[in-house]
Amino acid sequence: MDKGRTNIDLVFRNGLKDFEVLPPPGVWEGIAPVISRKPVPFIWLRVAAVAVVIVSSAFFLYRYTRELSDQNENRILALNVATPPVFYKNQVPGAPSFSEMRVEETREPSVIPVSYRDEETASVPVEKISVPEFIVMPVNNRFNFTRTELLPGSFLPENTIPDTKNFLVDQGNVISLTDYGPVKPPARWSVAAMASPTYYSSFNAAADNGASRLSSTEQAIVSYTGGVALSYKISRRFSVQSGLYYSSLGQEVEGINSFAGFQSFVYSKGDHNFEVLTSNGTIFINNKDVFLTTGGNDQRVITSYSKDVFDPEKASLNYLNNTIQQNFSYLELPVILRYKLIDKAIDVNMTGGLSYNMLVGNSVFTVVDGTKYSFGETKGLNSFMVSSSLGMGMEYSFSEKLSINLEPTFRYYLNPFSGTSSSAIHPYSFGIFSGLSYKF
Amino acid sequence: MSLSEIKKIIKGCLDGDRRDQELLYRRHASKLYAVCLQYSGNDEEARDILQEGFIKIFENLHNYKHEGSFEGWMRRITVNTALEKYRSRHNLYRVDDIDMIPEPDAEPDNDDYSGLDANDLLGIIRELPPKYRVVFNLYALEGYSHREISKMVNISEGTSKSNLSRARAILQRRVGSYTGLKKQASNG
Repeated sequence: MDKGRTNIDLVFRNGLKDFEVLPPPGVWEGIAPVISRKPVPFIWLRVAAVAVVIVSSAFFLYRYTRELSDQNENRILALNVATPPVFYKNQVPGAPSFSEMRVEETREPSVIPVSYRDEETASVPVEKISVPEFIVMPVNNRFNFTRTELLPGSFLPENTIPDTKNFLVDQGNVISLTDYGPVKPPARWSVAAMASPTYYSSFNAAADNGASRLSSTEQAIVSYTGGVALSYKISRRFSVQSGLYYSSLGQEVEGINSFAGFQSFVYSKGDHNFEVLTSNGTIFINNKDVFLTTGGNDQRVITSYSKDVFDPEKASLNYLNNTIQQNFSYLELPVILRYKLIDKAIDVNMTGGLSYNMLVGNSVFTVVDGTKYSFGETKGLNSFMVSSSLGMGMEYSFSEKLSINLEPTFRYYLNPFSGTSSSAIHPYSFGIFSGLSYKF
Repeated sequence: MSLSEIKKIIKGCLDGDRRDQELLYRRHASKLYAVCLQYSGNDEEARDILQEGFIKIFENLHNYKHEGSFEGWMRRITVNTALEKYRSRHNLYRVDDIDMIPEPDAEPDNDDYSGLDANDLLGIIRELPPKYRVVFNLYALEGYSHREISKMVNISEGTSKSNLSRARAILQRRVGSYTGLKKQASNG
């Protein structure tokens, strides 16, 4: 028996070896136009997305370390003000000598608090003047100065003792700082409510042409994203942002005719009777009342109820629509780095980073006269996706705390919606985020 | 086709030369279409597999390293395309398509299969229910193990063995019937 069954394998193996059958005409005509198209090389898109993230992160990090370095250099002049500052005309033993301090060259003025010894430590109390609490120095020139230079009659105009504690020392001239107001610690945190209409589309991996053909019948629909962003300013130009967003993406699949009223004709026990192939995975039609069909040689609808088995028109089913919509919803956790390129009345920012997206909604439906008919869901979707983003934003401050933002942002999803091998589709989206932010 | 000729055609295809692309298709389409027919229940499906398979061949041509048989490489892509088609459809085949096939009563006595040509054998294979046909093709014609088949078709190894056994039994019986009919026809 075993011998006979082994033989049957050999009968077929040998009998069909080198067997050839002339294919039907027209196959080559279906292949030629497809292979003549040059698809966008997917690997380069992925490399480009990763490169953008790495370069922008490295750039931000570089700028940030530079700023920290600059701040550290200036701090050599910073001394705490413990008591009301007092200047003495005579030399005070042990008092810090300004001449020992060297101001490093920077491009911007620095605000430097200055302190001196307590009044009690002075051995010879003499003529006393108020001294600056902060000295703002344009330190683009390297210079040294000594305490005696600050005494009345030398730096200050003769016989003038200012009654304010605030001065500007500018190349030997002392200027009142009263107009500048009190110095407050900057608001580092801000919270923003942002929303954006989103145009979604996808790049197709070159190797998967089945998906390419499927996507030719699919249209992106305008989707939306919205949520709350929290950002922390870690330097004057550099901030990091996170938050929680809800995004809804979708597409319309054309050429799928749907009918209602099929339930009274079907007695199968399976959980679904129809499947629809799309570039983002296979749709399972769980609604048993729905009958689907396509025209011509279109084989996107997979079913045992083909038109020669069941005719929806003869059965007088109610025609619904010739399109179906796929919708995917994600909760999104972004980690965004923001760099302020221009710090003017309208700030200009550059943003870049990664977002982690968790699938929270998956539906397939059609809409007829404003009524939504649920069909089922798309199987095989990735429940977790990572997207990279790059944006350029503008920020206008109404007040010290309130500002309005506008951020055009491009996102590229590093993995496809669908985890099945037949769908190597990599989505991208473009949205213009706008919203209000509050600093605190 | 010599190795240098294959290399030349592949290079032409990679350069986008339409004549080389068509030449590649014309030279191999008949052999690959026969493979498509073995894996499909109808001609329309076989045609689709051939078309999609060739598109994948052209799109993945840069991955061919000239290390093995080019024809074998193309055949594997075609078989994989057929399997994708099978996987996308198999869960919608009705239960009675498969399980209501009667078991053969006994082994045929006649084991002289010399009267059967390739067309007969192809016809017999295509009459098999899809899940038996795919396992028999992968095991007997492509030489995959049950472990490999279980991963490719997403079934257990036990199911693979069982399906192969049933496929062989059905084929044995049908081959016997064909042979008997042919002999009767030639004698009569």
